[in-house]
Amino acid sequence: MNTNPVFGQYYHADSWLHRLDPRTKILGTIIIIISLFLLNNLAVIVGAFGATLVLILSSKIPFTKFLRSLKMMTTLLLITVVFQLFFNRGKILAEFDFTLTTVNLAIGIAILVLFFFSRKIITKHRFFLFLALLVFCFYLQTVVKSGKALANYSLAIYEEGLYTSLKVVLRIITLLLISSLLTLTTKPADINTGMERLAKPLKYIGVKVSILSMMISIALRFIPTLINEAGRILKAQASRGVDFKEGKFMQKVTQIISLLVPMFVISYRRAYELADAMEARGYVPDAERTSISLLKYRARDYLTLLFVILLFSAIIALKVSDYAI
Amino acid sequence: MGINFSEVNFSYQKPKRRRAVVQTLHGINLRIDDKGEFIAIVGHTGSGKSTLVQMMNALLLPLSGRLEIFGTEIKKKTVLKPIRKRVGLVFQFPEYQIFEETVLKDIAFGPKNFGLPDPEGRAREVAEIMGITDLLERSPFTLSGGQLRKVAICGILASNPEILILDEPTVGLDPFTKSELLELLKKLNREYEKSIIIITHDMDVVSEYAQRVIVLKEGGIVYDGDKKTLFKKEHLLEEYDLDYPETMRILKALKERFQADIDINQHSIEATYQEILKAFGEEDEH
Amino acid sequence: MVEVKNLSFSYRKGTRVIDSVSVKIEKGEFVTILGHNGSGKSTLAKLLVGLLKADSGEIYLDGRILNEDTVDELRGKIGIVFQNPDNQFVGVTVRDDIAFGLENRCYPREEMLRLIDEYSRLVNMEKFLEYNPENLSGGEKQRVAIAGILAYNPDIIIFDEATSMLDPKGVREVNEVMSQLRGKKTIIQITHNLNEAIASDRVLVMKDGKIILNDVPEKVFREKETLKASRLDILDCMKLIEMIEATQGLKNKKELEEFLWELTFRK
Repeated sequence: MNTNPVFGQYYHADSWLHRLDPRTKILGTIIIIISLFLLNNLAVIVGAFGATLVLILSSKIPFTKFLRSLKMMTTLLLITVVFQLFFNRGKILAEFDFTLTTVNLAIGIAILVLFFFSRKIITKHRFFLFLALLVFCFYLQTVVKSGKALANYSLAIYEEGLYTSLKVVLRIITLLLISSLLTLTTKPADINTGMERLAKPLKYIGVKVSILSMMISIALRFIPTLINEAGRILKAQASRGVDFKEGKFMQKVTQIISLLVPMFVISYRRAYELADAMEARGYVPDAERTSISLLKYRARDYLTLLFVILLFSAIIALKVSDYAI
Repeated sequence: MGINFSEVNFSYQKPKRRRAVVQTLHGINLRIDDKGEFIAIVGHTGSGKSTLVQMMNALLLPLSGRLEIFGTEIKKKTVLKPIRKRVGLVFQFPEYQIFEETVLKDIAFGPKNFGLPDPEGRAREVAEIMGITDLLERSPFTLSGGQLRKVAICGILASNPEILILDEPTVGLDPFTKSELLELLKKLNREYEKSIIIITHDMDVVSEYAQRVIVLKEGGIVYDGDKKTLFKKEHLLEEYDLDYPETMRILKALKERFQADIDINQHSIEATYQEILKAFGEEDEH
Repeated sequence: MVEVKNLSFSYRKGTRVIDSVSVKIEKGEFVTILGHNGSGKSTLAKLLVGLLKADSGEIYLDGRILNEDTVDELRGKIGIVFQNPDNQFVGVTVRDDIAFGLENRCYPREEMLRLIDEYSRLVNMEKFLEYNPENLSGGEKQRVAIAGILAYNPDIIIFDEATSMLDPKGVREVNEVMSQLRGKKTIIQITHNLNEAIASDRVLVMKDGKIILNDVPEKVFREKETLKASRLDILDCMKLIEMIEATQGLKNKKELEEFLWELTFRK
């Protein structure tokens, strides 16, 4: 039923989080994210992370679903860790002396060349393998000291750096988990409706909320269709000998044009026909309309929101009175 | 030579270790000659017709079984380009492939990709066959639906494939344009000895143009053979969800109404007329 | 009731797509407009629902003139099902799509739910309310489109080649719904297929933006030469009648012709 390939985030389950009103979830998520940025004490952040895990457990959604969104951010996380680890000053935790010698340089190059030629044998997790090998190369420089020394340098890990990187990483992970929790427990259409209702006051400052929301809802409806279509265009051109694996630069440009032009032509015609169909069924942009989707605040929504707001106020209050949280 | 399927299965899902996957096609055994065949593939939406023809063009690879196209077995690492040159596939909507500024350039795009000599000369040649030489300098985006289909067919034909596959080539065309297009396919089949394969829902098209019919049902081939043998069957609708063509329905009604000795298995207006003459026209000779 | 008086329309100056068309369609009638691609039949449909504005002439729906001031209101009286099932499905789910026309007319939610229930049943789609369009067949999507129109209760429904992109099963399903509506709604069917015109009360044949024939199917089908000149494909039965007429010395010739004529209209 709900096999929307792009917005296929939604995972159907029966939990209190699924039953919450989308407005509660959107507001709650925003407040929690702001709170996360206010926190600056490692212990408190660990607490927030733990609480998030409890929330995830209560959502009845398998944890692997959450891992997927974390996976996409691994690179960013790793860069953050490295950056924070080495570029903070303070108390030194550990120091490494590196000596680049002819021997370990040769070994290092050999390892990287081997890595390159292993392309066909090892196909999975190559990125992580590469990182591991890179770390190993640096490790070699601290152990193998034979051969002619080419350069000497040292790196230190500071206590401050360790703390900061832990805090930053935990904060980003918690943030990702919390936002995944919103998209996994709420259907895209419901998020859209929720946003529309929440943004309603904006119409007094001239924002056309209803048109914006109609646009999002049509995008939600048509993105899967367009993706299917792109697949078919790709196949149709492949039948005419388009092969993306080969070709010089100019040929590549033509190949891409051969996909983009039909995509554009078809989408344009689609938009045109859809506009006719909508108008014929009485759609007048920005006119008053009712909605089939029912959003209803229940006790659980008030309670949840109350709890989140209390938590937020507490954080603010503690912050203001200079507690190290 | 040609195309050979033996015990081919196909699934859109990735093979899983324990659970069985939903197979879109199963147990396909099929031989298609590279000369002079005219095949109609029929079956309900979802019976696997489009999947089957996409495999013939090596756009989809078998899950298991052996698929051979012009002697080359289709596997993950097979170089597919030479195969796609020899088996042309025209998709249902010409809009999916047409993109150049002029019809000529668009038709020449295929041969250019396949590295064939003189692509524009080839384009002119096939435009001649399909009777669209007057459109060559025009922008494809100003053409009518029927003209666009011919351009799309030319775009495949220009690479001179031995087998030409068309996915529902007549949907949405008016009757006039439809028969014009089908006559052109017949010409390609007869005069140029191309093997033509069409997917269609239109039993009148099957009846008038095809020699061989492949019936698909729930991902398997339930009939593969001569057209007349298929239509000889009594329970076509029950067995294969297929209707009889108009000519046969007319003759059947005539046979019942006049208790005449009629062979209802006729597939063109001319043949139907001759059959009526045979049944009703003997009075004068005696 | 639909009344068209002296209607003309052109997309660009010079080429008239609709050329002084006048026609009257009674309440509850089932009328088929026949014509080849480019004869102006779909343009006429778009004019009737106010998606295009005529250069000259008038359209009256239920006695009220269709113009810029009345179009929003009069659209409640007329609905149109287009050719491409994908390009008229607005909602993310079947329920949302049927609701679309109702939301535009500010129906209260309770009323919408009742109407969605009623009309999804009428088109046999009540079990699919939560489905996304990607998981529906062409015929199913067209039935949803019909339900979405029926729900706001227009008197007139136009089917603009609504079955031409469907497989035989889809065509059957949509035709079934159409025949259920017969007599209850004014139906205007647009097609290039003579077969589909057989069952209608009246057939209009269009060519070069003009209505050149306007009569019951039995009479229109007699005009073989005019039909052929309008790039329409006459039915096999009719072709055979023509051939038999030209043949000398057939047994039961008259009976044969009569039977084939009868057969033309048997469905």
